[in-house]
Amino acid sequence: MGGRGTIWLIGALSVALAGLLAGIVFLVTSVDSPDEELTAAQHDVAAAARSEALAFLTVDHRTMDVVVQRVLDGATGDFKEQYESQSKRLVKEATRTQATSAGEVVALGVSDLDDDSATVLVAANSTVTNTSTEEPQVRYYRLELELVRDGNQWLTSRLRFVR
Amino acid sequence: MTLQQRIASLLAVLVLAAAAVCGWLWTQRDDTSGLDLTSAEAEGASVASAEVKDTVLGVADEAATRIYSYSWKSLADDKAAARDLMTGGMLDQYDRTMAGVVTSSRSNHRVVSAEVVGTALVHATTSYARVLVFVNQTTDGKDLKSPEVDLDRVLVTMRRVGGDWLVSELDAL
Repeated sequence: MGGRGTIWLIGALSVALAGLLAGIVFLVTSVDSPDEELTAAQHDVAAAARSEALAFLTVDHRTMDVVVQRVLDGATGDFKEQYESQSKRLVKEATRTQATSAGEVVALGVSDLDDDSATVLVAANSTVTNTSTEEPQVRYYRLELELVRDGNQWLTSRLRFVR
Repeated sequence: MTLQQRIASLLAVLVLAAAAVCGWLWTQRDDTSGLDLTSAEAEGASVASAEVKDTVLGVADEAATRIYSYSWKSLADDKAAARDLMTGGMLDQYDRTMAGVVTSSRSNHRVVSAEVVGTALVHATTSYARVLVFVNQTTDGKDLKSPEVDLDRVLVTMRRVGGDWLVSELDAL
């Protein structure tokens, strides 16, 4: 390779290097790093709310003990008391009408979140069958769950339908 | 090797190294918009910061209220106000939807008002966010005996364009 060719090559490589370095600077400054702590907390509370919402919307007249226990396992405070006090009637009614309900979370987001309490909104559907429905029916829900931290887990202390 | 050739070889190595770093960074960049996240506990859902969260919840609230409200008396103004909050394909989608309701809303004196009763964060980076919004939409008009209320669930997707958060997608669930 002649001296002139090498100089051209050095020029071209220098330009390429400058371009790549500019690209690196651009990419480094545009990389989005989330707030890891907040993200982890949001994941935890969202997972707890999702599982409680699904437990709440699940009914199976053949296994009502399990159905009720799953809801109570994720519940605390007022919500737990209310659900517990109504559970006998729920079991009786579900058994009588041979009810089933399969819940599905369509979307879920976190409203308020601090160290030991949180509010979560859930858009959920459930597919319901019982002795009075010929075809399975889909029901649409807007739920608001209030959760409190209990040790290293989140429990639902209030659950309401948003009107 | 001459000195020039050595310099050229060294530069070639540096170019390759820089290209590799660039390629790696490209794979690390923010591309969460492709994940189609609908739940805050999904893998990939994150929170950029408490400040970004507050901002996008507020924007989603205001945008849903304005976009889902209109009156037959002020349709042009209402549409213009709603369009100011949108970007990209959302504008076309909105225009198509409104084109379908213009005639009936004039003839039936339709007044539609939206009230946001809840907002919750699904996912937010510093430039892309999704918020779950509960909207009560009340429709009144000459053809209705009493106002009708729809309890809607809407996923609002936003992008930050030149410092402002704008709605890029609205999905009624």
